[in-house]
Amino acid sequence: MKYIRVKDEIEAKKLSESLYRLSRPNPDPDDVTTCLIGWMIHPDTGAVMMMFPDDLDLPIAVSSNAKILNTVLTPFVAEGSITANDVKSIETKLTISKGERVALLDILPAFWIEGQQTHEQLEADGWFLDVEPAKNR
Amino acid sequence: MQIALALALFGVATTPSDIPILDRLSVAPVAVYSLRRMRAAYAGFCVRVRRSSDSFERNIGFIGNVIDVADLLAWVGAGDGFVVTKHDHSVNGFNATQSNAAFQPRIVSAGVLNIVNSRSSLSFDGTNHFMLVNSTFTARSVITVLNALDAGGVFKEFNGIFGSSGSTSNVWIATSGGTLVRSLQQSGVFGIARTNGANDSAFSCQFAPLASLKVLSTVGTTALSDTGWHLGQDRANVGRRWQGNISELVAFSSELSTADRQLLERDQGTYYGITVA
Repeated sequence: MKYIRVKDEIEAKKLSESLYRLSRPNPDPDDVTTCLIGWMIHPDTGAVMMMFPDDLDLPIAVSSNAKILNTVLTPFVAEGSITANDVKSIETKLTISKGERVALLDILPAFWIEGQQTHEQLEADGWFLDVEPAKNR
Repeated sequence: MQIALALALFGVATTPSDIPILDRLSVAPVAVYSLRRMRAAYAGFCVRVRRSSDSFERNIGFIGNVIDVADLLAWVGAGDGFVVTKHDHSVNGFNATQSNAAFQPRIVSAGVLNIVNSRSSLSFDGTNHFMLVNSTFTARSVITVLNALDAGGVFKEFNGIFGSSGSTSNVWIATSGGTLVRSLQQSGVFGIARTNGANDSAFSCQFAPLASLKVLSTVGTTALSDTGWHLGQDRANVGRRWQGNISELVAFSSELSTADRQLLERDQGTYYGITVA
């Protein structure tokens, strides 16, 4: 699992929904699935971390919009965590991958992969609740 | 029970095995998550599935009283099938859903149905998979059929089977580094726990060997009420998800009588090939 920090829950939801639309550009009204990946919220600080499974791949639909991530990634370019070239490179990858399956981690900016945190680091930083039932056995 | 009475009035001979198990109990369940139909009154789908090949979704029904495996496998094809909705078969409509593709439990892997003890089951990976029930209901008695991945004989982490969305109530939680599963609890008050119909202790069940399918039951001393529930996760703790297969879970708002509990546990034992006391 790769953990990547984002600004807030709105940003996380937009990114996750956009990624899912790559495989399901024209969803059925009855579809339950709306997002590709999840995110978690720090119980104390309210910070938001997206969770990218290591082995997740997705089909890129022929009718998908290869530019769909451009708008979602704009804030990351503005804050300097990725470059405009990264965004263009992702768009190119998505364009040539239409009709094929791609590993999720292959379409993420390299900066994110290098800067991601481990489960142990997150545990130490208090991201996971530690509420225990009483041990009265 | 009502169905048996009606059939008897019209002179139709029935045997108990003709009547779905939950219609033979004296109380109705509040929520039922299974891959078989356990109530005659339930006329909806079994599950809704997303296939990995193109992310299309489809409802899968029943053949007789069990999930339509032929339809499921034909539709999923050579890829994977993930459950996006586990329909509540109680007729209350408390469906368990998962809108995040990465978190959906698996029912088909590379074209092969997930089977435990010759019956269909849902596979939860311990890291990502869980389902949400965004409904308010009260649970006091919960009976489930499941197993766990045996990674060294003990549970590697605490992980949850069925818990409320709040932080104080939990129905089942595995103990990290051990082989026990703690039963229904709210703020430190535990219910009576049983494994395969036998009482191990007041508060916990022995789960060893982890990989063997078991019937777990708990009857609480108090009822737990919450506005949401998690199947395969310990309360709101994203680091504590079930690693194993969950075949069936039935929840009741009331205290289940001994006769009703045993009737259900033994039916599950017969159906899933588990020896139940």
